Amino acid sequence: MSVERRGRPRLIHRGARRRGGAALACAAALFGIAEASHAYHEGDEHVVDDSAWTPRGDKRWRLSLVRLDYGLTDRLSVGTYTWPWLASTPNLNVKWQFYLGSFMQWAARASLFRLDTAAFDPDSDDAPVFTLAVFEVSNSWSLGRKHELSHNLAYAAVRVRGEVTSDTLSGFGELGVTNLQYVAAYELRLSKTLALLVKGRYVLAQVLDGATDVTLEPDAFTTIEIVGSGQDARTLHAGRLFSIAPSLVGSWNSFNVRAGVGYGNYNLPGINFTLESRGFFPEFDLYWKF
Amino acid sequence: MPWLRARRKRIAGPLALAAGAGCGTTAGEAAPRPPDLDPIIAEYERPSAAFDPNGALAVSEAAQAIAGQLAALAIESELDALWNAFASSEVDSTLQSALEGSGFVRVTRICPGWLATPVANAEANGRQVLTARFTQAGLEPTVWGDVRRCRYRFEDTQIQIDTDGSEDFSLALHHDSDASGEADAGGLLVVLRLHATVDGESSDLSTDFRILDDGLEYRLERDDGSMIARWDAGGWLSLRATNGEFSCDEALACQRRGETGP
Repeated sequence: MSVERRGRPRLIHRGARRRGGAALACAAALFGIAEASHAYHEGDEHVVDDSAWTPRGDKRWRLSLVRLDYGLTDRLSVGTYTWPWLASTPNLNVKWQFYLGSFMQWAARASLFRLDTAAFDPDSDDAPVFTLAVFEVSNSWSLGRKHELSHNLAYAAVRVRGEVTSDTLSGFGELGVTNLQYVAAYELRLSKTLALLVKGRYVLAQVLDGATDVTLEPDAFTTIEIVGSGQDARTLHAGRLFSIAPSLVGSWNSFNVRAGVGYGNYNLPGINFTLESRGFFPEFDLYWKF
Repeated sequence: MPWLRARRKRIAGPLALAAGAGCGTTAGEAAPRPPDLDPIIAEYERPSAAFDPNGALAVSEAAQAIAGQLAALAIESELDALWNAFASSEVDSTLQSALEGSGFVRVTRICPGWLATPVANAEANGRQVLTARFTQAGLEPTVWGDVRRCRYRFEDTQIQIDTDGSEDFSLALHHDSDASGEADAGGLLVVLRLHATVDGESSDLSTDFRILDDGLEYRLERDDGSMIARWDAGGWLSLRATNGEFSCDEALACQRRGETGP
């Protein structure tokens, strides 16, 4: 160190420069490693939703606006929809990529939700209980570096059972909606940070069914019991429920955003119930991979 | 895309099966089967016995015996009370709000007993049970049920009715519609298989009759089949038989309808 020069003494000597350089090199290396684990549209990064892909690579956690997923392995993941927990609705989904080929992949996914409305009314003896199960089979085709086409067949069953007990009325009722949907998803990679994603959904069938067993006692002499069950495959206008939703997916280091506008009958995510009203709806999601 | 519409229908069927069996809701108790009243109904439409005008007295007495038994039992008022329970607003609103499907309704009514003030005591006073099935089209036409030691009063008369054990039911009601589809336009058939006790005197009442807008018809069983008898507004006995329709005056002089007198 030279102290004869006017002004501030030079504090950075050669050793420090070496350490600084090493630090920069480490940072660059780390950045390089991180970049290898990027979420860009290239390599082994794939859209996970409505496809046969699972979170893979070094970034196994995937947190979106509605869901948290974790890749136990490259071909097996578990997840949960986050918002239903706020409504005392535990849920879990498991996805297994059971076939991984060079250009074709297959996966199966199962989800289960359970909502006991007694959580909102602890004093109630007959709060209805909702149970939902969804089972999906997905197939994805890698059509070159830029194109990927996925097909999904999803079966969803919602059940609600309620019991009623009062002075003049007692019994139970069960209602269920079951539907089968086909979802196609096409991904076009425009660049490493931008992709076009087009999803089409078609409800193949939707069945409303129910059962009831109710006992009425309108007066001291009379008891009326009504036992019934029924199914109606027409009620929910099966076959006229569809949607198409193009969106752009921006991907950066570990952050993705998807935005677009869809048209048709909106499908409630997670529970896979398609609404009867038709119109435009936003497509938006953010997710982080880490 | 007609091919897709056709496939959609084929998918909906198995999906409905999957929804209804195991994956679906529980159906509860299976709907009971109603009695087969078709042979009786057919007799009212096409009587199978021939009427001999020389036997008008016997026919008249047989019809009067049935009418007298029914009057003594005040059976119409009891049927009214049961039917009103079926047609109650509670049943109607529950059926309206239930899923369009199928099932059954069972009405149990505790009989009022012999005391001046009715008491809801099934052990002491017995009960009546009526069952009807329903589909998406509504209640099926046959309502049937059972009566067990049912006690009630009519004025000062103590009456008890019970099943006679001859069939799986004690009473059955069948409401028919005419060609226009209007219910009850074809009358209400009542079939009874009862053992009745009126002020201590017992008798069997195994008969059937039809309630029309303008009166009652009684089915009279003969050796060669059945004929249908009723009294018209003027008090004349009318008979429908396989050999035609007859009208008999107060003196039981009978003429086939369409024939002119001497």
